Amino acid sequence: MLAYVIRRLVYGLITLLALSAVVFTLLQLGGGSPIDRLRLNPRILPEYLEQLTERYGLDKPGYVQYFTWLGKFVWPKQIAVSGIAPWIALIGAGLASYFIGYRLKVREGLPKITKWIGMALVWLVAIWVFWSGFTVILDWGDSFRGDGPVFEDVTLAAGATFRLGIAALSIALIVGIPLGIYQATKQYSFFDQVGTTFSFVAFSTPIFIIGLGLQLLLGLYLERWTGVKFFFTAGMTSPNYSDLNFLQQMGDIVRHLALPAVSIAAISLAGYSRFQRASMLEVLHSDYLRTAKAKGLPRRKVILKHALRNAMIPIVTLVSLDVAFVIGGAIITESIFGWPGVGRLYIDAINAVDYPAVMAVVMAIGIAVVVMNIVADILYGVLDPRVRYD
Amino acid sequence: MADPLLNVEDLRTYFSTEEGIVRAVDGISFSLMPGERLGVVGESGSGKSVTAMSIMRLIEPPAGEIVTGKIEFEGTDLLALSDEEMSHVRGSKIAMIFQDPMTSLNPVFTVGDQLVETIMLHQPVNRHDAMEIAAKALDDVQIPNAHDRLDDFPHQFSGGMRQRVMIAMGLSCNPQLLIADEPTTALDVTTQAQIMSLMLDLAADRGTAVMLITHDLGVVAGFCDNVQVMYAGGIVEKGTGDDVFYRPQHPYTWGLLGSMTRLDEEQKHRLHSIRGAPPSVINLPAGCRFRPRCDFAVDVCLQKVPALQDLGHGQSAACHRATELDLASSAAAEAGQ
Amino acid sequence: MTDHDAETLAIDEVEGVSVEPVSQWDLFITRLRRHRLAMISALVLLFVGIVAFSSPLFTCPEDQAECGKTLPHYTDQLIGDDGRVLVNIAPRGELPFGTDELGRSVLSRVIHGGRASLTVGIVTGLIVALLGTVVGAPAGYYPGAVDQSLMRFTDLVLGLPLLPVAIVVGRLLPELRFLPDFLREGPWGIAVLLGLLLWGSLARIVRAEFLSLREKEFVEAARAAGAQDRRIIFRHILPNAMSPIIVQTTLIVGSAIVIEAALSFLGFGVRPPTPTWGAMASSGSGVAFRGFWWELMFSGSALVITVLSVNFIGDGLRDALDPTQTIERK
Repeated sequence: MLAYVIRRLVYGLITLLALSAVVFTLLQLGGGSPIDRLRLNPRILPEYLEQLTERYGLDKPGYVQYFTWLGKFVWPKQIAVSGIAPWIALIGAGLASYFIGYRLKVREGLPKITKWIGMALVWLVAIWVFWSGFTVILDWGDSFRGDGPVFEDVTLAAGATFRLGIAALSIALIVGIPLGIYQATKQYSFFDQVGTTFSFVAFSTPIFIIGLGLQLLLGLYLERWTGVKFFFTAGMTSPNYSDLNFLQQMGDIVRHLALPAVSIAAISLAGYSRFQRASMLEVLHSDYLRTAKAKGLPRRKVILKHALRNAMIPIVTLVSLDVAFVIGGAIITESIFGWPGVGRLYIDAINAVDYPAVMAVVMAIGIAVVVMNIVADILYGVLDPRVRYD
Repeated sequence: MADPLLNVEDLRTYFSTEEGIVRAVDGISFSLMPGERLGVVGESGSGKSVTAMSIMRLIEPPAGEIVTGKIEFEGTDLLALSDEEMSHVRGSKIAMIFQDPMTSLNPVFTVGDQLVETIMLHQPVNRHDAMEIAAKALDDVQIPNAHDRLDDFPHQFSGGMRQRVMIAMGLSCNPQLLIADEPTTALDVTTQAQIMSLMLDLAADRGTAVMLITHDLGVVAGFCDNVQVMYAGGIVEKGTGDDVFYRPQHPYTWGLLGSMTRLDEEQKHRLHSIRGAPPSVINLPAGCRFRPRCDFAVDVCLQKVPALQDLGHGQSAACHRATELDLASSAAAEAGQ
Repeated sequence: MTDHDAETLAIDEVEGVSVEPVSQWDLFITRLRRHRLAMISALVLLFVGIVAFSSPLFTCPEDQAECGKTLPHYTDQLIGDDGRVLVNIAPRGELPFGTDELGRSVLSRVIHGGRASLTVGIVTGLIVALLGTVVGAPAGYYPGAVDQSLMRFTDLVLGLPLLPVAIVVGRLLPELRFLPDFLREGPWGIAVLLGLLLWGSLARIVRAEFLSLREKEFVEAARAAGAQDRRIIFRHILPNAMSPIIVQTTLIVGSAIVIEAALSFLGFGVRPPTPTWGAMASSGSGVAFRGFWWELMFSGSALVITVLSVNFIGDGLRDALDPTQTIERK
């Protein structure tokens, strides 16, 4: 298991190296050196250009520039852990997982899966505590558009995209999976046909069409017809956000979040419900489900325990792999809804061929995708006892 | 005579497909006494598994439906029970073992979990006691280290071992009736006999009646008190194991027997095979269903569906010519040709 | 008459036993016909294709005098009687789809936009089918080092985040001087780019298919008969692996059209003034806020209908080409 995770991490690192090399090369090939591009911009002072040239070796050959960038990219400028709480959290989690893993006898009280759930919860809390007392600053370069350190831009934007992505994934999961299960249990019914048609249409509709449609119908026209503003069509919060009380702030967040999140969720939702329906149908026709019925289990329990547990295995993988798609969707949606996330940062950076910013965003997205792929594989093994890592 | 444990009357189970109605089980009647071992024999598609599934009420509408009939178990009509009442019968009074042990256990739960689930469903015990019962049940089916193996997942067991687990699960609540649907077909030949006698011995210890579904006449002859032979959704012959096996009265049974390899006899001639293929149960031939493949068919076979007629000493056959034909001597005649 | 003949005849008599041979091709056609949506989709797609690729025939860039009778060219600004450009004109008789914010006919641009989408779909599909097979087939047929290295490479390509990479390339494509002109402008460059990024999933499928087919009896038989690897691969395995290749390629065609539209929407796809449905949706969305909904509406609908048709065809092909599926099942 550990060997497997390490091997996957090595493959992930190779993928990230390849990604950085490809994008860096493309940026070098396109229209001369970045410095030539910057000279065209009258707002940038010649002194600043010289400073940049010296700092990034922009006058040196491409591969030297690449390794200079790579070295700075991975080497932290500053790491700090404040206080003792983060360390306590880590040691505590280690002790707790030893207890859960080796000392806790769950066999006679609870099914085995509770061990895994307990372990995951402990580590989630520990990582959260550790993270909140942990600072790391990396030198990802300064924006060529004069916005200062790219690392700060990216971490700020990542928070916004994270909020959008989590909301979208939650909507897709909470609606899509029960929908698929219900459709499978009522195969060929009217509801099933409607659901299948809906997911097929949603699956074939580009995300920007859905986004624009929602923006126009639920954002603009709905307000025009009713005279009431239900949803905001741009930004993350209102300008007067800090003046609002807590409830109003929550409402403000939801009203800004709803339309872009639903736009991203719609396609994933269609995918999940289709996939869940198919996987559920396969399980419903399986021999072991017949056994469960023959044992005298009530239908509800047959479906919610025996069928669901098996049908969820492939969907977990799908969701983890869907992260790449959600980030792709966020790039498009953020540009439609003016959401200040990595997607919009990326579009702005790429339009200006601001190469430290472009590299930073591409790498941030790449890291997220690689990590989620590894998580998907590990989760698959946890859920399916037949999987062996070797 | 005591009351029968199970009494099936005029059971008809039909499936609707795009091509038409499939009459998988078409008007069969039989009964089973407590503790009896009944063998049900037939080719695939003859309706024997559907009969078993109908008794368990595991036929799922809208695809399949029990159209008419009565299934009385200990005097109550199972078809009249609510879904909830039926789930108290399944697993506790009637248990079922399926053909393929490789896929019949849920892969994501431990064997212990699956046994305990059944036990706690039908017996008022806590989880700890259920674990003990489960361990005992695995021990009964001769699984070594039963207590430790409760924590293993199905994929950690071999095919034969999994079928032992299925038997343990089936018998864990001491049912009155055990339906075994080709329980050894998917297994290694060497383990088949072992598993079969283990299952029947355990059933006998508990006084459990067994309905053994198989296409293997040899198994039935060796293990069962009574036999019924099914063809195209109907019963064509029934009687004691010896009668049906040594003195078949229906040309189909005779054909089935002729197509068996026997190790105790010297093979003098080519194995007999029944010509043609079983009819599609959508488009049944008029008259006797076996007629198109029968060597002895006469005019009446085309016009009338033969009913099951009593031939004395408990044997009966659904053939117009059952009394006049002497299948054994015609076999000898063919062998002499 | 021998015994054997009598027996054959007797079998033919048996009711319900079909003796008529049915070929795989017949089955395929029967199954595909059943999939009514796929048939309709094929007709829709055919219509879109014919209209899009014959568009030069009924637009008139040169002969302005004849323009009133046919469609205006997609770059032509329409001038009203008062000499002003007809900007954002709502759909009406002679302008069924209205005009855009520069006064160009939306109908003409929607028709021409189909060429970019379909070109990208078809070219990407061909590249993907070729690359996926060329990489997947040897990986499945030669286990060990060949398989390992090819699949590591495939994983690498699949690991790249698709849209961000496509955006970088799309942005820089016109500036990559070493590329021939036809790749730097217009749909061909985008098609090649998407082809190079999308073949991974097909390669995996082809590999899995080859892996299982190479163990099949008919391949063993061919090998025993002395057939060479080349012959086994092309004559025995590839024809049997065609179904999943065709189905997966069809689905990739659908997503290629969507991705091209997304790139053009963001401004990194096919460059103006060449019309694409994605770019039209982008400019149409700007004016839609002022109530001029038609450019967005018609370009978006054309896009959705086309992609939906491709996906329905893929679905129909999947059902029709699955040889394990019998004709009875729905």
